[in-house]
Amino acid sequence: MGLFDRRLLIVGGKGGTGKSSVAAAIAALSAFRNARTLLVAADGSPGAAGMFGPAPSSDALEVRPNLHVLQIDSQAALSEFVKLQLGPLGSVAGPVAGAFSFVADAAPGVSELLLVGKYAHEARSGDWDMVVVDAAASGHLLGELAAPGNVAEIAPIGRIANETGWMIELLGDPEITGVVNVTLAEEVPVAETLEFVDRLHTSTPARLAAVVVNRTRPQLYARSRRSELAELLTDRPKRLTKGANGLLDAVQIGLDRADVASEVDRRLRTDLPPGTEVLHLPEFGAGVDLQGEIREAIADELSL
Amino acid sequence: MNARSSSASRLGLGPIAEGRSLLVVAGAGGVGKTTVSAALGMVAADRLDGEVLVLTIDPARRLASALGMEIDGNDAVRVPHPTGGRLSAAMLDPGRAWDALVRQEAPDATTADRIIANPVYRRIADTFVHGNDYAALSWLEEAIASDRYRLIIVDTPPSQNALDFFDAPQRVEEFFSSSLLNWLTGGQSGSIVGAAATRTFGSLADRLLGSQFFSDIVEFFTLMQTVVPGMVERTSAVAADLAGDDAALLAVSAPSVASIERVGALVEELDERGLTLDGVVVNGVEPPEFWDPGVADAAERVTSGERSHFSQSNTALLTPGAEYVLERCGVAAAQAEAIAQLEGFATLTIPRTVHSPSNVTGLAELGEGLW
Repeated sequence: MGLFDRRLLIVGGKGGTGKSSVAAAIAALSAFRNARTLLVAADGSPGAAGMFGPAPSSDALEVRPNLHVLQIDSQAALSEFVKLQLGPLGSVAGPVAGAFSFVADAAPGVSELLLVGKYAHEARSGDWDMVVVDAAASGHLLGELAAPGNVAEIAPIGRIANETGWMIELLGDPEITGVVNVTLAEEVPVAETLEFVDRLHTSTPARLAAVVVNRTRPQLYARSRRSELAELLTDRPKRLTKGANGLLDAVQIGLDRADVASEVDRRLRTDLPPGTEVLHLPEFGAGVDLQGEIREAIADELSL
Repeated sequence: MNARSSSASRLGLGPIAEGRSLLVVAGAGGVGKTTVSAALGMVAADRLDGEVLVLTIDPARRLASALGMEIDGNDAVRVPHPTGGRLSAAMLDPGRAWDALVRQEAPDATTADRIIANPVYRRIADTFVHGNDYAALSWLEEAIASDRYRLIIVDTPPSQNALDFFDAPQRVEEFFSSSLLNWLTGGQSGSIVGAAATRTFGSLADRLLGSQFFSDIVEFFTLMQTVVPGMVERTSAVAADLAGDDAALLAVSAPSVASIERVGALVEELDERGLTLDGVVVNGVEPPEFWDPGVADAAERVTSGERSHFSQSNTALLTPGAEYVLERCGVAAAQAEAIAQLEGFATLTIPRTVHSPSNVTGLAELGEGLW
């Protein structure tokens, strides 16, 4: 099952990992491969959807050939839903709609459900070959993906509950929906990714499709040169200047960091569910054609 | 103490903790706020007479294990301290904190049981807006009232806005005392217009959410009316303490322009409330090696091959490493520029370590430089 064979990719990750850039690049790559693509910002800010120039709004906007962007927030999704349900009554029932919004907002899980429902709806509408979501940070995302199940449990009857069935089915079908977690090759982010995946699979119907290890770097030294270098670093030439000694210390730090990166990468490969795609992206400098470069790097990693 | 002095000064927890009993640590997610709070706790317990408490909410399991804590439980547990300092840590489980609160404030056990059994309530602690902030405040109230701690360090819950924490009591009060809810729960049923609107509302809610859900909601809000005034009173006092002279406020930031700009925004919001930031901890800066011009110079000599300090073969061997070092020196320079934006604030930088601290010794080492 290839990443791009799915129809809904939900991209999450903790702050500081470059989640939005990765979501934007995945969407750009999808569009580039001639799939009609919708990129949805669902994190309360324009995020990925704002990276193509025009500010996204609640109406899909074409920003590149095949690529549309949309920003949704739970408040807007809620009023849209209420308006839809009230039909022609909507225009006269302002205060009632207001009161309902208030209660639905207070009712646990309902606003999350409508947010998920909005992008799940786009994925099943048939308008798009691919929907990519720049989702909330890990903790919130788990709450959102669990919302259809939670609401179905506490409000088993009613129109909202009726809507939960197809959502759970769509989110839970690994051939349609995949969660992408963006992380870094460092100890804490990787530990948090593994924790996230564990909770994703125990508390939500959605399944992990891929982990993107962002800002990785190639090994500084080939294995064959490591022992030679280690010798230089420990058995140092005499009468080195302070700066030259400091350089050797700094190189040692670089080697240690590279070791940590390979170690956590090994952990990811052994501890993630089998079949999870693990992509490595390099660090990209600012000011370049960022999405273009990340897009190509993702395509390379997936051998597309 | 006002951190805004004429030039940047070095921040130390020592002077800040002098005469303070509360330390609030704020910052966006992913900047290492919980690690910094734990490290501050380690050093404070070493230097202060009296017990220190670190209160944290749902941290990564990794940190809990670094502190030698069980993941489960709201009770403060003693942390094994390398120098015998008296340090306790508590990891808040918001769900259980809410239960405790309801039991304390409910008029009788039956009401408390009914609230806790209500399916709407069962979900609310996790998803209720600012529920975590609120649960933390109520827990804190007890810790302060116990008079047991010389210093309480509060690792604020991750949130879009660091100051939500201070507003939690007010928001809970507004939420439960809203006129809309009064109206929903029959508070204004005397009015004919109100009754008609309630009926329309009720039938709409029935259609959308199901009648069982609607009546659960009504029951929940009705029962909560008996509990909320007491809850709000207790936590408002704590929120006032947190903003008072006994409390210090630290921000934790990553060494990036974006993260430091968020600190700037926080300062403005604090200003509006008449609060001041006591200092900024910039976590994860490149270590001193990458700030040293002598190191950059030596690296440049290696990569250019001109007047290198090393033999020809060693120069060739070191070239990839030196390229890496030059790149990180560039990163360090960018970090220095970002940190310069904090001029006027007491600042402290914590270098990025190869391994993140994974036990009390690591946290103690990290804390050492913070006093």
